[in-house]
Amino acid sequence: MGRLSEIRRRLQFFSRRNELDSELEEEMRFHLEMKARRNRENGMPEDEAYYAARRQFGNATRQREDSREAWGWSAIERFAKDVQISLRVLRRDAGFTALAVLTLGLGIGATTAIFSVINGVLLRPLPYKDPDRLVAIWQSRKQSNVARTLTSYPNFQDWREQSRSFDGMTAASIQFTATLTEPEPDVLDARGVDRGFFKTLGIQVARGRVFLEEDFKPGRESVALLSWAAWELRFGRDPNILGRKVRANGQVRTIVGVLPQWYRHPAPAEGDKPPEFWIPMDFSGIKARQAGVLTVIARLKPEVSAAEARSEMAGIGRRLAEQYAINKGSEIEVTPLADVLVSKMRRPLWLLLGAVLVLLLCACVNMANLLLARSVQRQREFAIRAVLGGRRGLLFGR
Amino acid sequence: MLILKSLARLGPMHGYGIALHIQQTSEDVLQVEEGSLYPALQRMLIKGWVLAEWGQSENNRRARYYRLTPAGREQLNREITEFERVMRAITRVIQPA
Repeated sequence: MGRLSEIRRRLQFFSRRNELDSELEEEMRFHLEMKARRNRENGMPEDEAYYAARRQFGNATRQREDSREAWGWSAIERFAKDVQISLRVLRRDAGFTALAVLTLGLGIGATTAIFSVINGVLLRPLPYKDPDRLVAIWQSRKQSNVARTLTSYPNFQDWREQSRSFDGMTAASIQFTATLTEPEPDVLDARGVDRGFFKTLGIQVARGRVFLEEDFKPGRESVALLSWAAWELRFGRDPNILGRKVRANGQVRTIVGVLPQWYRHPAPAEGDKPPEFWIPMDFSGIKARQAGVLTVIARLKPEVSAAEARSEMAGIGRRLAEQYAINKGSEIEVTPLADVLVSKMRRPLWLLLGAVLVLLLCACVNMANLLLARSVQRQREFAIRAVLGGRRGLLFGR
Repeated sequence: MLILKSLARLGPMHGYGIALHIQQTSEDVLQVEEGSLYPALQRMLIKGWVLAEWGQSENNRRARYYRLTPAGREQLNREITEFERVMRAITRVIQPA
């Protein structure tokens, strides 16, 4: 209870502080005059009386300050005053201010810019549906130190049939070149994908449609998909792109869809370019088990973890290694897609971040130097203020 | 403590009067920096041990008079008790053996 009323009193004092301050001044003046009068009565000469009184009183200004402190808000007041004066000083010495602002600005600006780039790349969510449920499945040969190679269609089939951990498993072929002769000669980076590819990834097209089941039937009129970039750059954003026919690698195909701008191809291999042209591929024609041409992506079932899928696939891998001589010594690797797409970029990006932090450090050091130079300049000011009775902390607060 | 005691003895009094009283009663042994009275009085005001109001002094000048509150009286008793405790301890230590 006492504490509460104390706080209330503090607030009252704070709101009336200027008034109280002048009251205090008047009070002290009264005190001094009474003292001086007493001194005179005791026989001191006129002028001495007053000075004696003042001496006995002590440093009036400091007493006033202490009184204000007792009211308890002086820290805040001091801070506000410091800010005010600092601004004034900075404005006066424009050159210094400009330099300081520039240095800090450069440091902070560069760091922020790079940081947002890194943020965008490293931390950006993948443009697929529920991307953390997607994994890439590779073949690897630990003994020969071969990691993450593409697999063949027969293996892919076996993986798909024998595994229970996945809601869908799909494959994309290695990159190949589609040479267009009609309407205009052009060369596009192309991929073949199986029927479930876009569905498993959860990609919608920006225009048109993805491949349907019937596109995979032999003898059907061939279709193709374009990437957004290809549509923009090679086909000039043709509004009538759907239904246009091109001749690629000697085969006439109809464009049935355009993929969205943010599409990223999952699990690209070293040296791959972003694909511009997709065709449906029924890989069953590739009967050779050793032909490693497929990138395999799968979606984990909701209740299955990547670790569980990994061990299941390891078991399948062992079985296949026993069954087929080709597969001997190879194992299956299951990696979450997020790790795959980013890992290549990771090291250079961390390096960049490090460089930027060093830049920031340099900026700070520069600032410190500038301030140091300045404080040498200001030594005279400090000396004067110390003599006037400023306390040490207050002195350097500014 | 001395301020509170002076107020207890004198009744409502202004700052100068308190300082004078302390000096006279202690027979000039205690010569304090008189100005330090005022921050102390402010602190006591905030803590609610004294109340202040403006009044007329003996020679018809405006002066602020301080008065002890019941809480202040309690505080005074606490401080005196503590002081006497310390005094006794010191006395024991310096007793001739």
